[in-house]
Amino acid sequence: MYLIETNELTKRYGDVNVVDHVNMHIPEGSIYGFVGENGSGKTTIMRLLTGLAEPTSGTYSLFGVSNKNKEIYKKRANVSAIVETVSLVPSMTAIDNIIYQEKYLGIKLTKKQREELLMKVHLEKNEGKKVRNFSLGMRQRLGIALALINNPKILLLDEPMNGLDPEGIAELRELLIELSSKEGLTILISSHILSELEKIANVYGFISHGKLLEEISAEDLQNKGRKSIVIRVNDSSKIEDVFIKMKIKDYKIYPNGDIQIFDLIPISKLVLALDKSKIEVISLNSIDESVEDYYLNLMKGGN
Amino acid sequence: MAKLFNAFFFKLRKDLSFRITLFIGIGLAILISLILLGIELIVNGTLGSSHRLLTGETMLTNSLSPVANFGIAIPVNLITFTVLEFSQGTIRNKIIAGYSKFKIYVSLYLFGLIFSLALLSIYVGLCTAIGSIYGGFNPYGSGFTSFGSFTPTYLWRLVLTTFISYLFIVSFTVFFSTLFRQIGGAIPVVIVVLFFFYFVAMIASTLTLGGEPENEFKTVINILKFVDPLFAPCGNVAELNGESFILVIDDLSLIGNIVSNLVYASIFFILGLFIFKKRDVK
Repeated sequence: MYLIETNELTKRYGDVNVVDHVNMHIPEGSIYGFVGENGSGKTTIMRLLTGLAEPTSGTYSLFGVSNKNKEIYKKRANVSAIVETVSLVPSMTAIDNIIYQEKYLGIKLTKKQREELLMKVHLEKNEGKKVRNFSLGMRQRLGIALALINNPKILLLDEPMNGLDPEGIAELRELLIELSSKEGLTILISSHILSELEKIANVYGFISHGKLLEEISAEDLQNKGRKSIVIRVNDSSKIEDVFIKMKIKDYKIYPNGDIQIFDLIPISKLVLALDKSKIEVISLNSIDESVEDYYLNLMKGGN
Repeated sequence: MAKLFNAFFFKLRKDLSFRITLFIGIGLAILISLILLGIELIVNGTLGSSHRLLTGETMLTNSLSPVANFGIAIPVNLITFTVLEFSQGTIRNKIIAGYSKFKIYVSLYLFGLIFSLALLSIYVGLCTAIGSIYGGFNPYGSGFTSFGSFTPTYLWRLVLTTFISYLFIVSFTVFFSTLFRQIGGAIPVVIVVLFFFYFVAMIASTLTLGGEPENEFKTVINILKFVDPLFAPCGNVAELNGESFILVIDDLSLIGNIVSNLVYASIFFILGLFIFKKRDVK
């Protein structure tokens, strides 16, 4: 089941489609890495999904409920987000910011629960400190604590690594992985740096100039970055017999008909075997690029 | 919406500008008391004489102005609070949490109204209390101002129309805070417009001080009663009563105050809500 889905989602500012007919599919329990260059439309999509902006056309759904349905307001109660900047009251302490959030969410945490929340983001020693005296990283961490107050089912994080030191980034990664694996939280996390997300995301969406270029699982993305042969044939039903004969074990058949072979075999031998089995080769490519290369080529429109 | 109110009032309690406003209110109440005591001393040559200026009633009428004295501090504080909701991004947290923009805007307006009336009540109550403690509420049977004396009817109508004026003031203030989303833009506009209505009411009312205004002025003043939402509480319309002037808020002013405030409040409320719903929240 997709917890978040968009259907031809478009946002236009003036004559520019900042988000251009985007169809996203975010599975339940996944960590969806949303990757694209600065200004690619990641933040605008998050703003649309959180109700901060209205789509020019197209729709989206949260928990299967369309944004055209008034039920969406109730569903949003299970969504937390940090979009662009962390929204805090600088004149209040960390604890008061938590209480303020509790008030309009209609929940009441105990003192211990508040302390535990701050402990999760390592701010337990700063609970009485005014937020105006917090560093950027501390604000970011407090923002994440606030986003977790109501035990959301969906968490949207826009460039959450910004302002965090390497230790903070590692801690945030661990926290997100834990939330996803233990509590089944679905996370949409954006970044313009693929390597930031590589250790946590299990699904990726690549966006450029407002258009969603590709959605791909982490496994498939890793495969794209392995040395391999990609072939397309006229009849893929018999191909597995050929692979058995050739002792090819590491391969993947994609829904679009592409077959990717990771076992290192001579291409000539493969073509000969296919020919013998009367399987016509439509296309054949040898891949030898890193994940990073793949991503960069995708952004340039090369893949 | 009760949750939103709860949150707004919590934030208000922690807000520095609110504490400053309260401090200004207390300071102003003391300052006005001292000024009246000073005048009393100059006029009577001594304090505590038989004709005291500092009474509960004089302090009540002096403090009841939606613009002058403490009056202007209330919308300024409300602008600060509302604009900070936008600039600190806490309003978008509420949208993300699932509140519709309609609910948020209605809550902001109602909160502003409750906050303004409560703050005004505290200030007026404090002023009246100080005056009453020193000179009693109404030791001479009728009030007296620099414009003339007044009756209890005038007094309750002044209280009523001042409070009613906040229907418009809050709607107007929340509208401009939503429109500009910055303190520097909203405060000057709100102050200029409120003072414009205040001075129009003051100038128009001086035309009545010489007795019955000329016919053409009378028509203008009657129109103003329905156009200027601050006319009734700010215009000291005086009528000749025997040989002295008596301040009045006549039936037409009272009706005009109610009608104009409801109309202006509705217009700015609807406009503000429309803008808030149409514009994306940053």
